[in-house]
Amino acid sequence: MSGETSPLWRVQAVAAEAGGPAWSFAVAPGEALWIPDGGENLLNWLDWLTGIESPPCGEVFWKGVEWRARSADAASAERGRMGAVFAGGGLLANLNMDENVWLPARIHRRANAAQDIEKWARFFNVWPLPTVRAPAVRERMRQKLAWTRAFAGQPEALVLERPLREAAAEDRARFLEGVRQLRASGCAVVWIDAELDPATRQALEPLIPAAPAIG
Amino acid sequence: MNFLGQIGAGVMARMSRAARVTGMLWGVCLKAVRPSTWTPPLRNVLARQILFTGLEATNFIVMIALIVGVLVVVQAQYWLTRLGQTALIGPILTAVVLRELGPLLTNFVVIARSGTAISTELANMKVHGEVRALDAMGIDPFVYLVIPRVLGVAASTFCLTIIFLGVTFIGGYFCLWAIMLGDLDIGLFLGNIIGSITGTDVFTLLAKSILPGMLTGAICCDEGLGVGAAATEVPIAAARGVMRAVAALFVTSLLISVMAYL
Repeated sequence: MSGETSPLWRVQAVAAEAGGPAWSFAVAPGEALWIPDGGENLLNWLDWLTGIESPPCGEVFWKGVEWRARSADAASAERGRMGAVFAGGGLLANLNMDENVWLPARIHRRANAAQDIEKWARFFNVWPLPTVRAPAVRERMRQKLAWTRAFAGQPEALVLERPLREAAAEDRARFLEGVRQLRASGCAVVWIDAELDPATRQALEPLIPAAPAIG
Repeated sequence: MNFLGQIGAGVMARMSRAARVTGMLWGVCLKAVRPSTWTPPLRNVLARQILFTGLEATNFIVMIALIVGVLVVVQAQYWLTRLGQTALIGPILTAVVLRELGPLLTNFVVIARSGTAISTELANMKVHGEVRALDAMGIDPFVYLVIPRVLGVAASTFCLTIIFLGVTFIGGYFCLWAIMLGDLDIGLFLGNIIGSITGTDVFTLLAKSILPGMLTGAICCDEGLGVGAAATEVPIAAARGVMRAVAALFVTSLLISVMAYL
């Protein structure tokens, strides 16, 4: 599945409950994998893939090491090299949008963060970054700022949790082009959504659909 | 479960919570001394916490301190004058205001203002998935949310206690002067108070302002971050945080007083 490159993620027999459908897959740099799950089956894929929560059954390896085998600091440092788009937005209400977008870069002391943030903010047409708090920004703008935060910082991997829900058509195209650019630079992408429309599927080709083994 | 079992379960639950909060305080102390912890956003959160808990509460503390100054200092001076024991004003005010009333009332104000705010804010963040988002971005919620709040509350409580004491004594003196109850020079009045402060008083003051401040921060963070996914849990967490912080304040004040007087 992952070709000659060693996989970033290796998921082994992950299931929401013992005896339930078990998922096994691997994702290598530059690959895109689709997990057909809408979040209604107690499958906290984003949490499991980023190691903030362990799956009830099975194991998730990131760069060959199971998340539980890492110290809290080491796990945080690894997560700092990922980008994530959350279904609920994940923007902090008590920070303004500029601070929200800059937060991971400042915490992880990323070099060249300013150029990268500006590049993606311009790409998603949200430059200059608004200095008002998240709740005061319109939903469409919030979504694009959340994308900017996830894409900036040259992430090694992207976890996208229903990223295009209620996105406008022109924003979708822009988002998919951004994903294509990141993949071209070696970023692995995991897309979590119940369904993918044909245009999205086509834009993500080659796309690996993950499927569980029953029993 | 029988009656004894219920008592045991209650004690165990309280012990478990106390152990968790103690662990949080230990973690705060360990991580706070590492320079790498203090990234710019963390310093920003600390500054905002001190601004909210300390600076924005100053006016209220000054008002309370003035009232306490009038009530306690005037009463003490009045009764001591009648008893012919005005020389005891210093030791009495030190014992009542500096050791007990000042730290206690300041902590009450901090718990009422900031304790509820911390619990509510963190509980809302948890319910809305912001804590999860922080964690997934490699930002340790303990480091980013708990450490600056615990330290900010402790530092603010200490500073507010000092302001409280200063305003109480000076305000009390000016009230005395205004109603002409005592023929007392301000230098003599303050000198009498300062002269009666011992090393034990300084220890008591530090311990009773910083330790309960840290406990308030840790308990309210613990309650806020302990909620599940339902918004209805937010006010419950806030109320529980305040109750536990008040209980912790009394217990620590009692223990410190016992240590100081032994």
